[in-house]
Amino acid sequence: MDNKALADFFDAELFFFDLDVKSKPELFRRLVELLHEKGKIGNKNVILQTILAREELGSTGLGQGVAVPHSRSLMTKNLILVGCRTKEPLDYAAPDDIGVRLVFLILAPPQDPANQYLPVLGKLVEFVSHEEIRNKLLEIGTFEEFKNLLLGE
Amino acid sequence: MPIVPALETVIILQDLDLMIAEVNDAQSSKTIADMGFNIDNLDKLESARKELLEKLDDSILRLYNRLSRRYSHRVVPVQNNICLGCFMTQPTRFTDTGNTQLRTCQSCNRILYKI
Ligand SMILES: [Zn+2]
Repeated sequence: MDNKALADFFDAELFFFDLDVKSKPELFRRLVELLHEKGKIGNKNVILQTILAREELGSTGLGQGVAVPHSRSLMTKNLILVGCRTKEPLDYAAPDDIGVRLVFLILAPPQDPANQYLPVLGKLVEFVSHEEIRNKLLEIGTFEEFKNLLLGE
Repeated sequence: MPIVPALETVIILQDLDLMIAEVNDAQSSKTIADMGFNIDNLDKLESARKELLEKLDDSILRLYNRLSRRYSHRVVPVQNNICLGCFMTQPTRFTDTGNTQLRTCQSCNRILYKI
């Protein structure tokens, strides 16, 4: 998978700048509500429970202020990628204890014929592993700027 | 779309079971761990699973367990009256109230979720 293919999974409607949330559970509740409002998921509670269960397994915080919560659920028809920057750093139980502001949520159906879930997850993790990318993600203000950053333009 | 609580619980249970299966699968767990994710607390998923089981009626739990012995996907979508587990058309029409009852496929017996 290349950055172009990854970019195609993002949706301007599902990119949120400076989301005003104070905690990790509040973040998940808000993202799930936004997904539901936009008609992307069948049921809020199932998705929320599944995301929270994944966090029980281990924090999806990767360090350096980035988290990539991810899960499969029957309540998603297609792979969904949500981008979010929070207004304030969140206590996310990340391995380095640095507060998280950059969050990318990935949801995929259990049966994923094209098997996109792990490649998308891997590509995204690689993208945010670069310090200059993370710094720019903290500065940009539009979805277009995000796409340009992802496409290296 | 309204959804009957038993169906909601059984879908959460399946999501959880697929997550547990992914951690128990050597290849996918290695892939995820190599990306830098923590997947250490399998015991917490097991206890969350136990709590969910207590919410389910015995008959539904028996059905789910029976299906688990045959299929990794015990709850499957039904779309345009077609079970996406076995691709058989369902004789009873699924109306807009399809998820207000827990129904099973007439052919493979998997639990159906209308999408
Ligand atoms: Zn069937």
